[in-house]
Parts: sequence; C-alpha cells; structure tokens
Amino acid sequence: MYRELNDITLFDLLKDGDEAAFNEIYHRYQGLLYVYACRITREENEAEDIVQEIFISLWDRRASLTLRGSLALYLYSAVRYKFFDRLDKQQVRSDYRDAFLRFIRQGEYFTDLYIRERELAQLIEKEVRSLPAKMQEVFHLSRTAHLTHKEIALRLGISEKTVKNQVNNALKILKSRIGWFSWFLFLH
Amino acid sequence: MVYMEKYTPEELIRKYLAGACTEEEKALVESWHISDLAGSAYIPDEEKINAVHERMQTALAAHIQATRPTPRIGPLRFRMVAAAILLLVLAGGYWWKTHQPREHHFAKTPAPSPADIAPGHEGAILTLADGHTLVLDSLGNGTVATQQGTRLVLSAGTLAYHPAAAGTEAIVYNMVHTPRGRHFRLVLPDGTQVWLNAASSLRYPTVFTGPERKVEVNGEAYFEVAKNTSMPFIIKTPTETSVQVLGTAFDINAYSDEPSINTSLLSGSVKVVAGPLPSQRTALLMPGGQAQVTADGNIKVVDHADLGKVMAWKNGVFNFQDAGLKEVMRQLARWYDIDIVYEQGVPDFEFEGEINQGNTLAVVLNSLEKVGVHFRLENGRRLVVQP
Repeated sequence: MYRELNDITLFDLLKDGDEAAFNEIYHRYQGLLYVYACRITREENEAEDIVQEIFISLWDRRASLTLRGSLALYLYSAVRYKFFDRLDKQQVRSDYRDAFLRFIRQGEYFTDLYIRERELAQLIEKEVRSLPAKMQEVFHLSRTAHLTHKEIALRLGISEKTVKNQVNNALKILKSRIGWFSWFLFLH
Repeated sequence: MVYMEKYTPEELIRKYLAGACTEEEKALVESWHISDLAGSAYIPDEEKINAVHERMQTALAAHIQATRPTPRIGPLRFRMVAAAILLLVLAGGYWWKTHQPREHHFAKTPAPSPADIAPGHEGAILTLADGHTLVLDSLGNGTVATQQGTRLVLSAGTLAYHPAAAGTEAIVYNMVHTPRGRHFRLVLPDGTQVWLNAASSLRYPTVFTGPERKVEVNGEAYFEVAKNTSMPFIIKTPTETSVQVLGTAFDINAYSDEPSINTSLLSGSVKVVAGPLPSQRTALLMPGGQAQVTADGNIKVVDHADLGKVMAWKNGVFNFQDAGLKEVMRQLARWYDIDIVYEQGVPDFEFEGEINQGNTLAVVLNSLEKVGVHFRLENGRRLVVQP
C-alpha cells in the first residue's frame, strides 16, 4: 500500500512517526540523492555521509518539518545545503573557487526561482538511469502511482480516517503486542 | 546582467548558508550550482550504489531503533475515546438544533455553522511532463510554466496553451486534475475549450501533431472543439469508449461511479465508439442527442436529451430533474467532498428542480429534508442517509 501513496501523503504519515512511510521515502530517493551528492562533491565517502545525515535529520526532525514545495525539492535542497556547508569548511572541492569566479564573470544566470528549481530537478532526475534497475523502478512507480488516503479509501470503500489508521495500525499493534508480552513475562 | 563581484565566492557561499543573500546573489549561487552539476560526469557505478544503499539502510534502522520512545498505549487510547465521544456529542447537538421546528421561515439561508461544509470553487492541479505538480488555485495570473516551447498562461482562472511559432520538439503530456469540490476551464493548444467538472481529469499533449488530436478524460468534461477537418479530435475514456469529434460542442460524463458513460451533443456532430475490436459498436449523434454506453459496451441513443440538466454543472447549478437519491448524492459527494453512507438501504425518492452550487451543504440538505430525506453528518465529511 505504501508504494502506491504519493510523496505528500507519505510525508504526512512520516510526521506521525510512521516508520514504513520513512522507509518508502528512503527507497524512492536515497539512490538518486547519493548520485547527486557524488556528482557535486566528486568524492564518494563525503557523498555517502551527506545523504545519511539528511535521512537521519528527516527522521529526527519529522514532527517539526513542513514542506514549502514537493518532498523531492526539499530533499534536493538539503543535499545542496550540506554540500555548500562542506565547501565552506573546505572539506571538498578545492577547485570550486576558480570555477565559481569564472561563472560570476561570465554573468549569465537564471533569475527565476521556479526555473532554477525545475532545471535542478531535471538534472538530478535524469541520472535515475544510472541507478540499478530495481531502484529505477521504485522511482518511476512513485511518479505514476500517486494515491492519497482518499483515493485508497474510495477504492476499498472505507473512510479516509480508516485508511490512515490501517496504515498506522501495523506499527501500533506491533508495539502493543510487545507491551503485553513483556507485561506477561513480568508476572511469571 | 553582470554581477559586480561585491563578494568573493567564499563570502557568497557563507551568506547563502546563513540565509542572508539578496535575490540576485541567491540566483547567482544556485545557478552556479546548476551549471556545475550539469558539467559533472562523476557518477558511481551500480555496485557502489547498491552497497551504499544497503549499508545506509542498516545504519538508519539502528538509529530509529535507538531513538524510539517506549510505547505508551494506555493514555493515548483513552484520550482518543474521549475525543470521539466529545465529537459525537457536538455533532449530535448540531443535528438536534437544526432539527427543531422553525418558527421563522423567512430565515431562508442559515448561516454556515462550524459543522457546515462550504461549496466548491474554481481550481485544479496541473501535472507537468516531468511529474511536477502545480496547484492552479493558488497561482497568480501570468506564465506558470513552459513545456517544450509551449507557454502555459493562467488568466482569470483559465489555463491556456500558447504553442511556439517554430517547429516543435518531442511530444510531452500534461494533465489537469480537479479534486472533489473544484471546477476548471482550460484552452488547449489548438484553441479547443474544455470545462472540467469536479473529481475529473484531462490528459493531453502540449502541442497537437500527427493525424489526430487525442486527449483522455476521466470524470466529466464539456468540450467546445476548434474546427480542423484534417485533424479529427478524439477523446478516450478509461473504458473502451471513445468519442470522435468532427468540430463541435458536447459534454461527456465518464465518472466511474455512474451507471453509463453519457455523451450529449449540443452542436456539430460526434461519433461514439464503444467496446474493443472486433465487437466495436458505434453511434453517430445529432445535435440534442445523447449516447449512453453501459458497462457491457451497448450504446443506447436518446434523440432529445435534457440538455439543461446535462449542462447544469457548467452553469453552476445542480439539476435534480427526475433524479433518484443515489444520483443526487453522487453529485453532492463530488462538489462538497463528502462520503455518503446509506444506513438502511437507499430510500426511494425522485427529485425535481434546481439549486445553486454556491450554497453551503446545509442549505442544500435543508431543501432535500423538505422532501422527506433524513441525514446526519458524522466525522466532519461523512453524510449518513437515514431511513
């Protein structure tokens, strides 16, 4: 069921602490973010660290996060900030200064934020083709099947609230079983 | 636009990280990033990608496990039950209040109370060729995007496609989708105008090339097709039914929860094609006619359809002439974004008359109550039909 949910719905579930939603987001974006980070840092270990930091902070700060645009845009800009932070601390890319200066002198750039976001997303997402076939499939599926709670509810003929609960329930039931079990152990 | 080199690259990056850049500086930093990314060929191999994926997944699972709080099911469950009871009491209070006999009949339009539901309005969601979505309700007038040279311009709630004058690149598709409670109007690249009813979608190329103009419809839409005899306009539905247009105005109702797909012709001529080959059936409609394609692929043609009823939604009214309760409820569900539940079967009613779609749900329900239907609103958006 998670595979059929759109990014926004997954993000909503994540905010409620849904681990399966987090895992689905991981499977959708981790490969692409890693390739993106490799391309800009030109250093595989730094790239891996950047992506892992992003997912850890996504989980730790889940309750307080809000999306300005799409989940993808949020993740892409998280990579960008982590990268610039490493540039600032001179941990990567000693060559960047000259390249940036040349770019400034050349004086041509995208003034519109929306165009920049689209351009960046296209550049990142075109490298989905360099991912292993299975990861490519997960990414493409996520772009075609984008159900919301409501659509799943319609399909199953149950209320939206019930769907959200059912998606959340697996985890809660598991938790309460563990609870009862340890209580049982306690008595004996 | 030459940047005056007020800052060094280091300073710009630092300002960017601190969120202290001007718009121009921000544009400069991000544009450099885009051009730097575009020029990079540093891509890890598949083996490496897989290994990192596995390794990171394990690390994250361990992190989540370590930070998980001990579950406290008891108090949470109790609070949830308490909240549910409170909601029921509140909802019950509302219905008890609204069901009291009224002394003042001149107060025709009750003020929307917190338990009421506002009507739908203009708006839709646009999906671009690369999968990005734009909520069109919230955007101002002007160019909202470009697709392969075609400009997408939003003006007074209508989205229009302006194809580039020169030759076009590869064909890409856009989709406009209205959720429940939204109507939307758009103008396709050939000048064809489309009005989308609630809970509907239209998929189309950003420029028409080739021998036909092909689009796909889900739900209900009214078309005023621009004339072009050398390029017939073809509308596909989720089923095997398609409509071939020969320059004309008509409505197609292809909601999956309606018993048949109805094509109603206002002017010109259309050909309705139902079912897969070789058992395909076709019907040619005359103005005023309606073709009803049922699930088994049969076509029933009504020569003089009630076009006022068909076109009511486009004019912002519900027309319930000769409609049964279920038909009425399906329309309310789409416009007020509510779910309908029948507590004990579907009561047998037949309605007549029109009501404005600008009314809140309570006003519409109030007029249905007068006929003798009884309702109860639960959990905010669940309307229970009582016997």
